Amino acid sequence: MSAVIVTVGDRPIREVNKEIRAALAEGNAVTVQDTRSRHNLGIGLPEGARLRFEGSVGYYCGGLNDGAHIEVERNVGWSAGEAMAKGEILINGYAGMSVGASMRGGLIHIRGDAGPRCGVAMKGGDIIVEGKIGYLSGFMAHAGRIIALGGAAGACADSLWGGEVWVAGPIESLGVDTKVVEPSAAEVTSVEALLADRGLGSNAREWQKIVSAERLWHFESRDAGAWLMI
Amino acid sequence: MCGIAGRILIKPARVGADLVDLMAAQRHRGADSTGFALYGPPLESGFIVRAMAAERSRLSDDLTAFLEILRDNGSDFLSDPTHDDAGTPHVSVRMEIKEPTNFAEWSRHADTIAERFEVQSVGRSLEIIKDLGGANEVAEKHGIRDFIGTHGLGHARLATESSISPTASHPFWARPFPDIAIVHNGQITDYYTWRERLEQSGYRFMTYNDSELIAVWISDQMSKGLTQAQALQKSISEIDGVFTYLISNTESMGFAKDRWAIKPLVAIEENGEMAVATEEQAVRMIYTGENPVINYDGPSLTNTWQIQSLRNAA
Amino acid sequence: MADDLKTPYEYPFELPSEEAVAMTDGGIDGRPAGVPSSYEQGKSVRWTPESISEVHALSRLGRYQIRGFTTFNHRMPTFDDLTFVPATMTRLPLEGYRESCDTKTVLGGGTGLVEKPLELDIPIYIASMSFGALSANAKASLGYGASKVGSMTCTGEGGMLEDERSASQKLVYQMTPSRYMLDLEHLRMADAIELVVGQGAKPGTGGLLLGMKVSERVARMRSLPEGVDQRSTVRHPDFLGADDMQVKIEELREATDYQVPIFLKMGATRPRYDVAIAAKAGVDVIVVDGAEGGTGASPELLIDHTGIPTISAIRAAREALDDCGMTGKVSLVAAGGIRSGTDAAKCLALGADAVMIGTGALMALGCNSPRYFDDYAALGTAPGKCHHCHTGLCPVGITTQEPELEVRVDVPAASERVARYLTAMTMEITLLAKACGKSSVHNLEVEDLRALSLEASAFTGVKMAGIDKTYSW
Repeated sequence: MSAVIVTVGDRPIREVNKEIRAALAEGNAVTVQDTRSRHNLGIGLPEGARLRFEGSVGYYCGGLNDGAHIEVERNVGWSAGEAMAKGEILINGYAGMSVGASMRGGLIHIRGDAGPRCGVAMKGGDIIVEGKIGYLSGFMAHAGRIIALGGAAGACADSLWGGEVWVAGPIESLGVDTKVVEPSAAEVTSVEALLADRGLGSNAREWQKIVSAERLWHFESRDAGAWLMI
Repeated sequence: MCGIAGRILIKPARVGADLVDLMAAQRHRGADSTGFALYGPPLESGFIVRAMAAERSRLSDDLTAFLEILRDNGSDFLSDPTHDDAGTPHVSVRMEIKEPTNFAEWSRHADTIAERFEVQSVGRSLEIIKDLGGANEVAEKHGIRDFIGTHGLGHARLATESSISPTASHPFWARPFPDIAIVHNGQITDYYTWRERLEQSGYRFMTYNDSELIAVWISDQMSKGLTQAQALQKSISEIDGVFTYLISNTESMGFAKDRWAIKPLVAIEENGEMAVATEEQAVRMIYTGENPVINYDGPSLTNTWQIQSLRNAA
Repeated sequence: MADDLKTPYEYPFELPSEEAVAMTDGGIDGRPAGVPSSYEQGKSVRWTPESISEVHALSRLGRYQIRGFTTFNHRMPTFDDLTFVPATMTRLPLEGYRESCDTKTVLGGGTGLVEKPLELDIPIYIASMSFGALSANAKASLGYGASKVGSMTCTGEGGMLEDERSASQKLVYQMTPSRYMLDLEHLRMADAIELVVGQGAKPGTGGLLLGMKVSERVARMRSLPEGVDQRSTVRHPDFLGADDMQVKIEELREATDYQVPIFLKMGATRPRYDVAIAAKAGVDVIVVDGAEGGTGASPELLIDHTGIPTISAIRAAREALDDCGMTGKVSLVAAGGIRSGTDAAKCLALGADAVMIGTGALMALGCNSPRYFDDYAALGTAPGKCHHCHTGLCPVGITTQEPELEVRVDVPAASERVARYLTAMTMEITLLAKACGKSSVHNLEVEDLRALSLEASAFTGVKMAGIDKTYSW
């Protein structure tokens, strides 16, 4: 069945989203046109929904995603896929600040670069960035994985609680309370398998796996260094 | 907390209309007041002055007082002042004046009547027009869409800690430096510290608005010998808080973005022209196709665009 | 930042023992350095037992102290500085026991954007306190008690607990910056959504839960390793300022199909500006939490030295809404140290549409009740002065995750106490309202109050008693 087309233009977002949801509810895939970088498109969509944006979108695209498969042809603004529980978001262009903020599951795949605070406070799931991840990416992440193929900007993985940031390529600087560890062969296999699934297989990558150094985990730390960080 | 925008054209055209579109697209970021800093064809000599009179019924008295001050400073009107007919108590006035003998002295003198008649911009080319209400409202009232110019700034304001009044809106003129205007998104947290220092150096402030402070701060740095680009860079480490601001003069437009990478800025450049704004959907009002977009997302960023059209006009 | 500490200083002697640092030499059991009760009060106004023990404690800990409960700052004007002036000759009182007084309270109906505004039977509801800070039994009891009287509760930083959703007929779902357990389904199960940018006890900072309370269940819900000292971010991860918040609010409305009200909760710092901005950002209800608000755990300096008193905050908030034309459109809820119906009535008179109680509700559950004396003593405290919520060893089972302690909250009994407390509070409010001649508690106004001190008048704009003038500059 061919996709239903919904046009954004300068219509009220509520109207556009209603139309999208109605079309999805009838089992159609939906293509959204004339997107004009507008905000709040495709919020809280359920499993089975398939949605494609032909163009760039604004903030919170695919926010609270609950299983939908969303593709954006160009760029997304801030916080795409924020608080996502499950599903998949594919962004062909650039992802603005805080992509995947506090997400809990599912996959976000960005073909371009990601802006600052990529995966901030994430609680699960995976973010793959073919380009570079921005300043303070992975900040205070609790769980989940960020995989950056094109390097990372400054303060990478700052204040990580848990979770992992995998970087191939140069890291401008590491954030507070991080350490780079040697990944096990099994872990590397797992990451590479995920990437291969996304058409990004390679034998040639050198990984730096960043995890929490756990010095900020406890207040009773006697290490002045750990405390002066804050 | 607001939305800002800037626009540069390759030759004089309807820059006002573009800025209105840029600001209208960001009205959800602030609708307390909207303002524009527009650069029209420069005067050969003398200055364009934009002012706001507090009380329409006293306008002719205010103009008389203003003229007296001009004459005391070796200046005069070059033509009859014009003003809006909107009927509101506050009135927006436009004047063209002869160059005063000493600009800074005249400016200080003119500010003595600021409570009833406040100079909002002075420049060969710069005109700041700002008022209460949203972009379209302000545009209607002041004919912004018909303004022909080469570049300009726009601002949509959500008042944070100072009052909502026509004079507290942005953009701000960096008094007493002609043709320098600024729009700002963010909140400076050491405003009072810097204000006191600058006041001690002899600068005056018309409001408690921190954008006004940035304008004066930058100009002060430049008067001490820094280039605009250097001053922009220095502001990032010296001024505390979260901010992204655009500053313009007759020849260039620049921005600085804070060290925390918080307030966004997005630009599209094409064929020597440029549109920049807080949100992408605003620049997409001007460039409706899928142009490559520059996201100024990282921390401690600055950039300066030159106004090409000047060279083209020459 | 950590990189700057590359060359650590080394003492020219061995590191001392913890006992030596803690000055245990010459000491006696039960009077350790660092605890105010170990000291006697001298003549110095500056160096009181509290201040001296603070230095000794900080010298040992190398960090700020952390505790729960509410402010110990004695210097702020409070509800007790205001009195009601009921009807005498200038107006008629309503009969206290016969003529009715309406207590129904609607929140979030003013903007016209919401399909289902919240309708409460009383102008009081129970504040957000996280599961994690509180035990599951405590959360459930608050829910049942509130439901019995037609009121509601809020989830807290820990997300929505099934026990609480089934116990509370009406439940506000809190979205804190940390986003623990944020779930679309829960969002859609809630009767309102509350975006939190701060709380009265510690504005400008994020949530805190010490490791001893991060049990297996809590750890799972907060995606943290067990036993870690959990510290939340103060800012939301996906919007950074009031100008972006408008877009965020639209997202939440889209997620819930415009059904339920959106609340914004803030600590009281500059309410005159903060409330105006929040109203313009498009929320339906604004909750202002004053400095007397409680917390399960916080650096104590924040509890005592941040925020402004609740009475001053409410007036500023109401005037902010008036000034931007949002009175009637955006609802205002006051919180922070409300102990009784009298305090609540004063909040309504000052301009609140409803009040939220936190610590008061915990008191009804049994906080600081005179039972289990040995367990209080083991914490170094006693009923009446316990503020040890952060330890997770609450003697009465409220702020703990220990199963043996949690059972001391007998859910049916505790629920009934909460219901009776809310009922009593409501009776107090209506009694005062009727004495002032009001047929609805919402018609209480500033004119019904008089200030008993210059400060209270200056801070609230309430007229001075007798002279009937406000303090003016």
